[in-house]
Amino acid sequence: MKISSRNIGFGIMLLLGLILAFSPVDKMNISKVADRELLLSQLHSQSNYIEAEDVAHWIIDKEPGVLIVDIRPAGDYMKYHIPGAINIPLEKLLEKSSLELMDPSATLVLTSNGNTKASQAWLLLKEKGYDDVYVLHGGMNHWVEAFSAPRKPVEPYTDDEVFRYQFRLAAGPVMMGTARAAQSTREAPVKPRTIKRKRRSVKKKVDEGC
Amino acid sequence: MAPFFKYGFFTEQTGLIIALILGVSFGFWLERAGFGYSRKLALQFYFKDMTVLNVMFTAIVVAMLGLLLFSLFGWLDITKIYINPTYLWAQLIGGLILGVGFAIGGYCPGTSVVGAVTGHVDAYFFLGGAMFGMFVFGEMFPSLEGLYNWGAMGDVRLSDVFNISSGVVALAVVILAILFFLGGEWLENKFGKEGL
Repeated sequence: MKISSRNIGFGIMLLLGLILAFSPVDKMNISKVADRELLLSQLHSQSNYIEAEDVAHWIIDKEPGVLIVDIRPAGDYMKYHIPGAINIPLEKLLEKSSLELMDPSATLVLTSNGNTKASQAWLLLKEKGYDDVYVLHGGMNHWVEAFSAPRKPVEPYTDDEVFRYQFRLAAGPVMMGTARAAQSTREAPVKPRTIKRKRRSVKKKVDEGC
Repeated sequence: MAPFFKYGFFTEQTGLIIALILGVSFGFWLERAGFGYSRKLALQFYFKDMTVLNVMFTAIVVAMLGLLLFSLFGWLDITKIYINPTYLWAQLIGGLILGVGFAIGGYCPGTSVVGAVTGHVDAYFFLGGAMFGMFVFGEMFPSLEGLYNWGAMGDVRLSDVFNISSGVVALAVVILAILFFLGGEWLENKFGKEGL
């Protein structure tokens, strides 16, 4: 008897379906080991970092769903913090009251003085199941330097460097408060905001579809 | 370990190039299957040519079996695969509107691009209409927001909703597909397969 290719196709489909129906497909998911590998590779490729300019853009654009979490001690936070940031010192990071402040669906930006502590917090939060967490690259040290006294690019410079410098100059007063605004008068008139709009690559997951 | 992109095997730029290659080949094979031709696509709605149904259901079944088997073998972490969020009622209404447009215009959004590229004038009209519809939707969005979010269920899969294992869902979908294939064939015979 000749079997048509159609029936062979149906047979294979049914067979594979039957295999799946009786196999523990769902138990294969969510292996912690693989997650750790993923985290490690993200740490290694530094894709957990977000640049100060991008965070500044988010603040200026009032990007919804972004939460800046300052993990320095409360005293440092009181002296200066990024506009809109909340303070959760690193040692209190995993307390229930702290976790309640951080919406799991929000985009979290962790800031400390440098990179190290924020990266440690990043790892902890990622393991806790927070999906969208970033570390402010360079931390507060870089942030303050970038926005209170942006360094003028020296020749030869690229357009990108000029744009970044102008953006830092323009965003400085907003990011640093009055201290920066008072001293900005002696500088050359602030150029019109040449904010180069870049769609962030680290945006939340985009819709995919037909 | 897949998905390769999420594990950082290639960068976003490489990903875009791969997406371009996949997209172009998708369009190419749609054209080769005759999906750049509105009359062939519209025959679907008169039960005279069920190619669209067969192709779509085959694609669904192949992708589903592949993903689940790969995950079973431990080659793929299926939790890292992007899932379109479900908005039950919004998607039902949207699907109905899309279906009506499909039956009238003879294209769906993807195939209209294929048709336009191969120079079918009706596809350009269809594309223009789709763009206009997007514009109107965008402008009306504030008043449509309730509808847009109607029945939001998040990133769920059938196995989550019915609380059964995804393997059983897979078998059910396979059986459903076979029934649809056989039913389609029966309908084609009943309403007469029309040559183009």
